Amino acid sequence: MIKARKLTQRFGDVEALLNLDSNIPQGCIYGLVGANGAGKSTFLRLCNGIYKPDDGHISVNGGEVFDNPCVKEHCVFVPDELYFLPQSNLNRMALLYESMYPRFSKERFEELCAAFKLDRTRLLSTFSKGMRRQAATVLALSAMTDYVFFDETFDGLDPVMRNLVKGMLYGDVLERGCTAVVTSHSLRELEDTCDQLALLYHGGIVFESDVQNLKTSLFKVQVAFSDEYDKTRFDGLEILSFNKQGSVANMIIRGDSAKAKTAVAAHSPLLLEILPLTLEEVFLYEMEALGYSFEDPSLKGGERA
Amino acid sequence: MKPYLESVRRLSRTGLALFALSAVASVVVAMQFCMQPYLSALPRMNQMFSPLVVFTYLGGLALAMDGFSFLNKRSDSDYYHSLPISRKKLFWAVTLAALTWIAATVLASVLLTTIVFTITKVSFVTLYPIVAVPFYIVATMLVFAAASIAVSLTGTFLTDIALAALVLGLLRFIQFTVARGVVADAQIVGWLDLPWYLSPVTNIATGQIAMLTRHMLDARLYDFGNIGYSALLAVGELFLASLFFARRPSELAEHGAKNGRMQTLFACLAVLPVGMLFSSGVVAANRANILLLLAISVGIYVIYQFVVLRAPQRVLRSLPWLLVPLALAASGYFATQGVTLAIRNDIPRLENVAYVQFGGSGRGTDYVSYQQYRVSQVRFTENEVKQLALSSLRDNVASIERLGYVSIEYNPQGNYYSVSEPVTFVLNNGRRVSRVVTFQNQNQLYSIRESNQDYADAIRALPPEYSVCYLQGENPYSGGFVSNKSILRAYYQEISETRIVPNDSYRLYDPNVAYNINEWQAIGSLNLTGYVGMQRYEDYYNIRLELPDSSSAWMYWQNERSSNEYLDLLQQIVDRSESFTGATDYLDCSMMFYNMPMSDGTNQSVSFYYGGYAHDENNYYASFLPLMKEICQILLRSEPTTDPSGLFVYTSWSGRALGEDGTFIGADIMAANAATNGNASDNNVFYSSSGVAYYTGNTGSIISYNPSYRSFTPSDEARLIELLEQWETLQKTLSYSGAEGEQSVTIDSGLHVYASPTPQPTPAG
Repeated sequence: MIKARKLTQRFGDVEALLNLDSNIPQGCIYGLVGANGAGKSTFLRLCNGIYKPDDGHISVNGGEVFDNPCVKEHCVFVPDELYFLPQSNLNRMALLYESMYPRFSKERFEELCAAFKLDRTRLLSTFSKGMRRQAATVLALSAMTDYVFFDETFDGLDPVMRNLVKGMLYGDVLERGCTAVVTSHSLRELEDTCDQLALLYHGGIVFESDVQNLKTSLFKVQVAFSDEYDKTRFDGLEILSFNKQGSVANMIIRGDSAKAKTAVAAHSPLLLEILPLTLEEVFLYEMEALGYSFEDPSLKGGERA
Repeated sequence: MKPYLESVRRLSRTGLALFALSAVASVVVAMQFCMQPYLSALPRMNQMFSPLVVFTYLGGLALAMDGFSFLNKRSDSDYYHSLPISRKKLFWAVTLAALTWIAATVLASVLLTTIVFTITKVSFVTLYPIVAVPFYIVATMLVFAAASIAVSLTGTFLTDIALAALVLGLLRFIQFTVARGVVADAQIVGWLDLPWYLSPVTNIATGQIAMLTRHMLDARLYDFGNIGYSALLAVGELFLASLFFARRPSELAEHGAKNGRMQTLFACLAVLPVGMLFSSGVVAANRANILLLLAISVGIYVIYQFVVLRAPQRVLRSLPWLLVPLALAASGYFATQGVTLAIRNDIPRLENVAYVQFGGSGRGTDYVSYQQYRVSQVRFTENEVKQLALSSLRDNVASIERLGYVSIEYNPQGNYYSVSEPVTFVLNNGRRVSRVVTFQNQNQLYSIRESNQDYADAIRALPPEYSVCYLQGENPYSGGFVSNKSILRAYYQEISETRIVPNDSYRLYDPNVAYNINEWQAIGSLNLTGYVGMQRYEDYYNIRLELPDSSSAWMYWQNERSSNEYLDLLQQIVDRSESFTGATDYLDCSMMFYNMPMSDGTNQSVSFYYGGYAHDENNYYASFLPLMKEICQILLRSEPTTDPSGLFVYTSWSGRALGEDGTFIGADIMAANAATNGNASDNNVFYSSSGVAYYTGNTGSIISYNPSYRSFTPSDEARLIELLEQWETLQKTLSYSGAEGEQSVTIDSGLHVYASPTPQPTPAG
């Protein structure tokens, strides 16, 4: 389990993370979404012991990460900007990983290279951007660590490869109980991958939830009555948003959809329809409920890109 | 182990390149040295391993820059710090990998150099390879350590290099400038007398650079003490670097410094050397220079800060910090003055001096004489010696304080020289005080020192035979070495029997002794080059008639080498010299007669010259022609001799003349000796009578190459002395004596007593 408490990281006058609290359970795929500069990469770097926190602390499996090889051997990091040894190929990189990660599996490495159809003897500098991401992913997954951190890794993969990586990730999570932490600008990227999602905003996690809960906790109700009505007709329901145009009203409601449907139906509406929300919509409504403005350019730019 | 092996692999590209370059360069440089014609010198350490001198800096820097290259790019730095290895372990893995490559390169280079020297049978100091291995490994690691500190504190290639140079050299530069100022100002200490904290060679990496500017430091650089100190320094710096490395924020990559304060610190460090120039004494501390250096300092500081801070306001805010290096520079100046004064005033008291040692005035030269090496090891406990050294030191200091320099009252009528000798006073508590002391009277010093038996033995000692690498310039594998050995053995034997001081530098100076009289007549010299331990020596001993066996051996050796003197051709050319017909005809003939009876009853060496050339309108030597013609006839009848006690001659000549038939005299010999691309009449080959062709641009000539010593029959000898007496008289008449003033001692044929038969010493060997 990864635990962050009051995690703070500053770069000069800039506070990249401020009093961040987070719990990332073992055996899940944890998505971290946020705009540019929200602190996603900084958080991942703190998780991997690249930075020493200015304040607060972060632990993996109960141990402090910074400069602690015993903890770090359980973590592997695929950064957004990849590093490969100069003039190296995959075999050479595998040697580097093998020397650093005690559980590095050569068999897994060969298996993954074959799955991705990557030439292990070809210079990595001649690989395309996507192939380099695949190569980094192969190496990371071959390290057989308990935690894998991907910093916007999926963004550079084509749909086929993305699915392949996701499939492998699922396999690792299910078979080995591995935990994957994935960051992205795009909620859609993470929507069908992650078990848990967190929104990072201005250096803090403003929202964190189970994806399934998120998807089912909010729903949209479209309703119409022959007489005049307003929001008060639906007292007892937790309405996050109420928008009425003419006789038709759209409501975003949190709670059990079946109970809500029964409660609304009791008022004999002309029209009653329960509609599911996309994850992006759920996030936006939750954020709005928390008081964050949709018009915030940093949030808006990131979320809706 | 795995991170270490991984680091070795990662450094393999740079490591292998350096390894290959050093190995090839070592072989090439060694072969270049070993293939030299007429090689008769032992190489210096840095000459023998010159590729490793370059490797010290290039290798140390390149391996550090490569090993820690990831620190200069944010993504790379992040990646390495994400790996499950502690920062210190990562640092030491890279460091040990670099050490592995450095050690492999040094070992291979030293081994290859040694193999080349051994295969080509060229002598070298056998301890050099043994010392070179730790020396160059430690020196390179010092550079590596400095660069490691730099890369741990900065995040760009340029700042890495700049800071590495500062870490490696700044303190040493300051030390060097202070030392230079002290040497220049104190006047009684040399570079080799500086206390350890001012010695520029304790740090062997920068010591090599200091040695390039002060060659005498070569004598100290390779001390094991310096190597040990440098090794400790390297380890200390590496530990410091590992601390910096462990605390280095990853985000420092691609930035010159962690923050503005660090940039200001770097700017101050960059300014410091400029201010320190006053301390060195290179720049006089006058108002104009102070203003100039102040302006340069401000310029450097402001430009640096503008480049890195990019904000005029921040530059202005940091400006007061400039006072710090300026204050330090001023402190350095006053520290130099203080140390200078302290050194001058540090004159030990007689009762505190346990003994004194004399390093020898030639201690800073490339080679020292064997006797100097031996003398430098002698401990003089005699009060008289200590007192003389101390009183001379006091006089020197008093003179400097009074006049600004050491003043010697030179007495032109005096029968002595003054001499400057490095003296080390070893105090009872073990402290060593080294000064260069000028002694008013060299003879007094030498005489007093002779009371020390070790000294008396040292100045009469000759190098052990096994240590001799070149004898008369010949190496032990040549035939020349073997044939010269007869001279060496005779000389060694006679020196041990007579206890004559072989090295003239250690003889008492006597203005009345002329070195061409009686037993002082020098006939040849013995040249020995070799080494004892790490000490190389080169000795020249005059072979004088005082050592008859050695003289005889010399004459024997010279006669053996004499291939052809062409005395018959000499006679023919002398005959033609009355009126040379060829435009390029000429004759140069020198005759050195030994044991010539003189009017004062002595036997002396006397030289005569006869010469001429075509179209010489004055033809000064025409008057000597009848004498020369007869001398030539006598020379033709003379025989080679090895007897140094009788009258004998050594004739060397060269010449060229057309005979009556219009062909060159001796043209057949010149043609027979012709080189591949010339003949007797061309203009680019210089023929010697030994058959050696010299490409000097001269026209062909005959040279009596390696003439022999020749003696005469009793009647010829008597006639010869008469002829030479007449020659001398004629010279006087024509004022061609060559000597100014009236010649008081002349050849006197009447005084010649012909001892018949002359005892013939058995030629040695």
